[in-house]
Amino acid sequence: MSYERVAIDELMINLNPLQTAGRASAAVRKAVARFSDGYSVCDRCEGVLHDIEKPDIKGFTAELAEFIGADRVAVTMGAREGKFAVMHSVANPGDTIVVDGNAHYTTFMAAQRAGLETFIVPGSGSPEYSIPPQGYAEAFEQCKSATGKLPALALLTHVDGSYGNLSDAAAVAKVCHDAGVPVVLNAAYSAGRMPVNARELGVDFIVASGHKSFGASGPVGFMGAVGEWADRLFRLSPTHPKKNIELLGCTARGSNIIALMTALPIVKKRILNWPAEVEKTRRFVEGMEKIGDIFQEGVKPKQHDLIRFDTPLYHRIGERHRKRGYFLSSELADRGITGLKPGQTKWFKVSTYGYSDAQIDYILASFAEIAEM
Amino acid sequence: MDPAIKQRNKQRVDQTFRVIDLMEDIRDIWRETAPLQEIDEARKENLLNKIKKARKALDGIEASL
Repeated sequence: MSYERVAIDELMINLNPLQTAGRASAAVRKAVARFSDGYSVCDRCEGVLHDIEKPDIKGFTAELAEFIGADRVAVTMGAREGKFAVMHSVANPGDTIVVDGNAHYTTFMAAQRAGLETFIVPGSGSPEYSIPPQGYAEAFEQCKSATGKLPALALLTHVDGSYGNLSDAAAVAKVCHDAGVPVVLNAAYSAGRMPVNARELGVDFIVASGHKSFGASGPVGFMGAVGEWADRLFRLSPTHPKKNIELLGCTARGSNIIALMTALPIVKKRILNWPAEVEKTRRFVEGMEKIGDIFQEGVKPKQHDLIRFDTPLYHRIGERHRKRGYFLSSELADRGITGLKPGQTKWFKVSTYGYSDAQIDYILASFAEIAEM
Repeated sequence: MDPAIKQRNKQRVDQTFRVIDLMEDIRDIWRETAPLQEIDEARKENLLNKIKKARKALDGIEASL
């Protein structure tokens, strides 16, 4: 059996938005090598993962809570597990929650697993696909008319995975609180890339992804709660009083939590570079649109590194190319660039996160060269 | 355990992780320069330095056998 990866980041520039901010640094990989055995962090455990002091998971948890602006956090296996835990804590089966129209599919999976109905705040449609904060107030009214009561919870996707739009979390939180509805922020695509503080944004809960945006080999993420909600989310088992119910006792018990711990100081530094990352994204969009018949979708100018392009230019080339729609990913691969879905030419998503100016120039030159075919 | 054997074993393991760490640093150089891997003088010096250190650690392991 071969375990060779398709996209080898040492050989290729990988534009997959799912992966760019999840690439682990050398420091993280070194730490992971020392904790690759199962239960490797549990040598000195006294029954609670987040209380382990060697390695210092206890100190890390406190530091992470401060960093993200929550009163309490816990490491999870990813953002989706955090969403489920929040929904399961706040709502009862049969209740309704309100979510944005750009929500990740796992938001719906989490709601369905918790036995909840969903009302959707529709996006603005083409070309921006943004989520208007006032849409939450309208969805609350619709929910009340249909079910007789307000939703148990609202969820906002801070940055969505389709268009890379940065939603106005503070405005949505205000609308939710004015209506008396708690709100959870899905920061899977934002926390770890850019400064995000739950308390400053006014949200009650936050979930984030280590493998998506903290440069941590996963699966790993975390969830946090602000104020009185912390007691609800982190309630303990009546039969096993040390164990947290929503965490099923303990979550990440090996190299994944070590990866997140090692990544945190690196993330603290890299988020300071966020304005430069956004500028780089805008330069890339400008360069791509300059090629012609390529259009950035979503809010302009970009406020996040995830970019969706409408690309009739490459679709036309594909129609007359012997490899059809596969020509684009194939031509890019020949130039050492990967991350686009093979066969996709009408539109595609990319991310420029973490790449140098020289690498961005190389990517732009490659797309321009392929456009001449 | 004989303290000398204990010390020898610790050194072997330390040197093994030393090599792993240096290789991870080298991986970052490939990543930073992908896909062309055109290495400037500063990077080349850094790379050669890491190779030298890794070789020394490997020699240490070999010598302990």
